[in-house]
Amino acid sequence: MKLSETKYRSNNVIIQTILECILRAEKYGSYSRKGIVKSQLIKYCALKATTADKYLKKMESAGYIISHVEPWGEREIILYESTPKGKERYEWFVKINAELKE
Amino acid sequence: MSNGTSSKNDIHKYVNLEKGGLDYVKREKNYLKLSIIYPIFSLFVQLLNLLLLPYNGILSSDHRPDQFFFFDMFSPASILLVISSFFLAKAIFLIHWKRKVENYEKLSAKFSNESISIDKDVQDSPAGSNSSLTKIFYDIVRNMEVIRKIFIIVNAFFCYYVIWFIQFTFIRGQFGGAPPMPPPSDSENFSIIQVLNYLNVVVMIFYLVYEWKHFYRWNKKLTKLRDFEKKISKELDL
Repeated sequence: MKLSETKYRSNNVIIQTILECILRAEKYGSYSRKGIVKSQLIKYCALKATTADKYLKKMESAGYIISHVEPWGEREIILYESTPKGKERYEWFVKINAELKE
Repeated sequence: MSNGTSSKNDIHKYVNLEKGGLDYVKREKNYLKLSIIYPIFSLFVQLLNLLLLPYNGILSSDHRPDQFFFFDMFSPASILLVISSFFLAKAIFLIHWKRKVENYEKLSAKFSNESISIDKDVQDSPAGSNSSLTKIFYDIVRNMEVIRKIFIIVNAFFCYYVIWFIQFTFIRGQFGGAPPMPPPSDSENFSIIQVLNYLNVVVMIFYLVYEWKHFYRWNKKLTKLRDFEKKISKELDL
């Protein structure tokens, strides 16, 4: 099914925001833990949990991000990290928008 | 060791990207400033034109044939008022966006001094719902798409204005009839208005050339962005 331009755009806003949040967390995050906690990521991106799940799964299977589980007290938390492919896609996005040289 | 080095390189790359993005945002701010200067000047000239209409002989009892028409003054004034209003609408658009950028910069500076911890309240994050570089970029794109459409209308109005200007200033002045400007009671003030009107046309031509260059670049960029969006949707099977 062919998507409309608006749909392409709204998809991309969500994907790039997720990548931006993960990269920002990698920049400012603590060195003891790799990645960003899923619940924080959803809050950062201001997404509904179901929408976030859909996009996170798609991004993981496309190789943009990876997830792993870590213990947090008695509970477990899911952490997300960017992959080189995900970083590259975000880099392309910023370069196109900011009209930076390739 | 190599993992640590590549992680540092990645962070460095991200910092450079963010800096590049913010530099671009600053360039857009400069564009905003330049976009506002001309409409203010144009509005000022047209307001003077309108205010001085009653003194231009239009309402006098001079019934010579081909005398100065009310239409002659009212046309450029109303047309340029419309054009200036469009430009001002654009400026308001960009001022609104500028606030978002300032908000992002403030939060970005705040968060660069604090690392994210698991229990930290994330409501004020620079990557939150109201301010992320991605959303700022898309705000610019959305605004520019609207402004681009308005710009086409503005060009049509400008063509009409140029036709009137040539007819009024050169053709009628050269081939008889009433003089381009009626004999005013205060000739010094009127020559100043005339100079301002000429200057307005010259500046407007430069302004339009500048805008055309800007939109030519935008069209190329939007094509690239659309291709990129399609590629991402395809890769993610959306």
